[in-house]
Amino acid sequence: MKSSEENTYTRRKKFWKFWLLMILINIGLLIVIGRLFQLQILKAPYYKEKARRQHETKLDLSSQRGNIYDRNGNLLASSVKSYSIAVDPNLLQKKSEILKIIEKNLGIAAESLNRKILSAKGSFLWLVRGVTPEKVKELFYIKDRGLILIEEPRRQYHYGSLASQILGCTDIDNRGLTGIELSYDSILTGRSGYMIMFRDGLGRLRPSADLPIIRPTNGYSLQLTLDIDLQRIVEFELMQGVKNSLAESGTVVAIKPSTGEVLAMATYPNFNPNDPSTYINANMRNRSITDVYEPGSTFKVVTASAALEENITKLEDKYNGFQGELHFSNFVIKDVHPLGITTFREGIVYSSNIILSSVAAKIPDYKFYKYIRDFGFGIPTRIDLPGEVSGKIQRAEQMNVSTKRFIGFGYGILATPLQMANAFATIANGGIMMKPYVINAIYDEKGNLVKQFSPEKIRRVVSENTANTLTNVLKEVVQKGTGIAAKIGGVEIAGKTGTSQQLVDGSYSKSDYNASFAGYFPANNPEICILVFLDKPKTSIYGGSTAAPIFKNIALRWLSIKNQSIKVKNIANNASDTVFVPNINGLEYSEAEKILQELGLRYSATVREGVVKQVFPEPGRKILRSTVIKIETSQEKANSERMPSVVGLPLRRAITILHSAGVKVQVRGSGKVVRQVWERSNNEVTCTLFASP
Amino acid sequence: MKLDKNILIDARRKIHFDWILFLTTISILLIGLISLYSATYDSNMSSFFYKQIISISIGLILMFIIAYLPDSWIKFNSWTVYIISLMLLVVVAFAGVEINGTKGWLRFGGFSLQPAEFAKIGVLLAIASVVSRKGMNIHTWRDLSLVLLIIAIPSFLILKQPDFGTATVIFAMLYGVLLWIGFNPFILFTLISIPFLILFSFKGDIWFYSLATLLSISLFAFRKNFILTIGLILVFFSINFISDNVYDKLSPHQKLRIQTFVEPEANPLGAGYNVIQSVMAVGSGGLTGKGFLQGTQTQLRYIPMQWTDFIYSVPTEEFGFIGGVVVILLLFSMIWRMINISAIVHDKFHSVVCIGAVSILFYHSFINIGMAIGVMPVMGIPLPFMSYGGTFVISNLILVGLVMNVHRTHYLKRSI
Repeated sequence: MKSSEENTYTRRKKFWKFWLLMILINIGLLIVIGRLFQLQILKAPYYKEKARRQHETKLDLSSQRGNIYDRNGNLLASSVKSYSIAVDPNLLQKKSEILKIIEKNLGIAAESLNRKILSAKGSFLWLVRGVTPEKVKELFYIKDRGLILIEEPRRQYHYGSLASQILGCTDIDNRGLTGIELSYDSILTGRSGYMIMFRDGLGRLRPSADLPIIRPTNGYSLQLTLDIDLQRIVEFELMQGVKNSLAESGTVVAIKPSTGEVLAMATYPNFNPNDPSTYINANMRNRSITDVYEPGSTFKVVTASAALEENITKLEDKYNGFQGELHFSNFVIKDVHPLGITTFREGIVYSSNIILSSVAAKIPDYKFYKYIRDFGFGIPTRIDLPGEVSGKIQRAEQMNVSTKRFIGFGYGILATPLQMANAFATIANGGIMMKPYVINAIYDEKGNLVKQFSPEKIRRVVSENTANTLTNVLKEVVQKGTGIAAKIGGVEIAGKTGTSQQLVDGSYSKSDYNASFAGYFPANNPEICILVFLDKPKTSIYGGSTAAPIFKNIALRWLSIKNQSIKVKNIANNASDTVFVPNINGLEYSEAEKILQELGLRYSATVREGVVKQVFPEPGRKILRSTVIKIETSQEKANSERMPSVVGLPLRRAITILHSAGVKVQVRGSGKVVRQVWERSNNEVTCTLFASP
Repeated sequence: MKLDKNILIDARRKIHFDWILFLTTISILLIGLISLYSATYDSNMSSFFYKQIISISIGLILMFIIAYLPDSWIKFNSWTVYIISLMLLVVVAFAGVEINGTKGWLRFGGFSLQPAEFAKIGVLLAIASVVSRKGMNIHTWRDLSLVLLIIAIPSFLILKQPDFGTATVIFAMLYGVLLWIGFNPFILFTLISIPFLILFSFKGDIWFYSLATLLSISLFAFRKNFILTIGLILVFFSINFISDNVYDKLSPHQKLRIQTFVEPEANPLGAGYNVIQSVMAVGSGGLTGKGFLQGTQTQLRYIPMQWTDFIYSVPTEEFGFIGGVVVILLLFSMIWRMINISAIVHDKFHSVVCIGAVSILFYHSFINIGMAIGVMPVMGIPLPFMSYGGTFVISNLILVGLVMNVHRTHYLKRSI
């Protein structure tokens, strides 16, 4: 029995402890709720942004660079699939095995790569970039988290060094460096897109349907005015000519006079855009537009045009040739072919400097200046290639009788080969100057025409009459004059030779010359105007004996092919009657079929779908073209549970996603993923991606 | 007639059921299951959800059985439970299975058991039994050392596993019981001050000296022996130096945990990762949350093992501040209710059992939530009723069952 007093005491004590406990516990409650309020209400925007930055990843979707075609639709440049090999030195386990494969297939010493890896800092190191798929095929089967295989498009120039200075090249990231690749870079590149993806706690990417995808716009393709067959002829003949004449370099420009289309444009030596080790600055220059020279005698057509158009002289007017040597003031003008008193016509035919300088002296300063300008000298042609220079001419107020005399036969002015060629094309075109251009049309990725470039008339420079008169004279130059080396039986060629001394250290050199020949044919309805220019020929300094033969060879060979209708290109046609069986193992049947058809091979298959399992005769064997290739396919089972679907994504993205999901990826085809097939063996998941452009 | 009425009333009292406790328990369990579902959704961990449902079912059955056991039976068998739990701890020390570096699980077939969880209940019952004995005086050395012995053996075995978290729970429970039965408040105050001072000594000198000064001033409020007070103040201030030395002797694993608490940002990819990610999940939830299964931190699995120690970040991320507060209020309503029951019951054993349950649940909830929101160090202490773990949820439900039993017995006794 407790007394009531004791009872009250115990109760009061208990009451105090109750409230003490309640207070302590509620302090805990307040701390927790207070902190929650701070985190979730006050700092919520901060944490929301922080979390978003952590789990959202922007992936660039690169656009495909457009192709470049010649005027007949031959593919000159395109982007092909290639692989780049990189490693994460911290994770790399099978280093020696990987390096051995690289050494075997790519010829890069394992030792040097090993040194590179050992000295590398960070977790990413490029080993090799831009390798063809078959050379890295063995690396697909190596399971190593430190090995990173990245698929990258690489620019392929299908004609090697042909037209290399026109096409230009791209850098390792497929950005235009020179030529058309540079001047049309943004059109060829297109617009890259991006997609937002979720990145999870393990760093894997997860596609999400609700997140925005901005699809890339692929680059447009370009069709050039170049004729790759003519270009091939031009480059071959130019190379021969440069070698034969021991010149330092040579340039050829071929223009269609009626439109201004550039049919061929070449400079030798050139470079191979597929091989960066040949990227030598001097050889990458498109000298037709970046280099200037004193044109010499070829410029006499300009002088003659001005004199005839302005009625300053007639072709049959007599002039004194001074037997090849004219002294005036402190100057002396010499002729290679000494002439006495003869007509202006003969003066041109035999390229008399003395007679042309006498005519030039009679042309009023401003008139002479006007014609030089009208023929396009001293101003860029605005051709759609990068790096064009304007050349240099003397303004009317700078001229006097003696400068005019020299300009009269092509000294004292600087012109690019293209300007000179275009001046001849103007005469060939009846006196109307066209703007030279190399881009014929722009197509989008589906082949729809986006823009068609049409010929652009710049101005009438001389009357048709004057132009015809000059053409007749130029015909004689080739018939019997200095240009006789360019003469072809049965074809009327109008042309003019040119030889000029080079200025070395302020005085005219006795050993360094420019030799050139410009001409067009058929003379009465010219289809092509060609300028050949040689820098420092040594065997002979004269355009008539070095440049004119090149012109003749080009013309001859072009005449032999030009009447053939445009043929459908077929790689197989070029090969002999025996062919190698292509490696189509592992390709999807339709892909394999496409390749065999392209090669013009015969084949048979029992099942016309699935993946090619076996080919007979086996790939790499030499067979007769008529042999029927037997194809066996296998039906693989689909197993796509809980694995990311990458169908519709560009290959590169798809591979990145699957790679980061720890899936081994095999790729068939290129372009966008159209189908994916899962295979599970042991603990390994392999995904085969089928892609088509 | 009169007799009949009495029987009727008695029957009603016999089946007396604490609906408040029951409904709060069920609510938290449901939120826990929702969170667990979300944390393991769409990954190969979804079996956790079904395993947890089975554990909860077993726990609820045990809870009902215990709630309706005769109270004398529980009192009578306290020591039996204690001895059995000790034996299990001994068995696990030899035949235990190691998970995440702790040898704390017994496995029979597909079934695993964590004896340390049951030891909490065994110790609670044993202590309640000791302190409620007639003539018991906790201030005598004999009784105090008996109590300390009761907790010393299981604590030692649990620390050996090593399971630092659960060991601290036993001490927290003892602290609550001692406070409740009127143990010297001066000593209790000193005891609680020391862990806080240690914690603050890692936070930095300013934190430590502010707290040490505050606590020293409070010591004078007890108006104890002046020399003793001064001595304790010196002890308080020396902790800063001692803790440095102790810190050097800790295992790297423990050092990391302390480092992580003090400055999680220093090691964002290592030990601090969980805390940073958890805080980010909570913070980014905002007022109303991102929606069920829409929490990016949770669904993208930024928080490793989120279903155990960091389960609180799931409802806070997906249901926001509102969800977080609901969880907290449910847990605290349960605790309030239990304090209430322990205050109204006359029987000391019953009262102590309730307050033990209060201490365990409060300690678990406060430390775990504090951990998930970055105000408490990471100690490996799960959230009652919500974290994944079969034995853990069962032991929590047994505690609720014990309190229900206490409440029912109280009503039954009052009516007679």
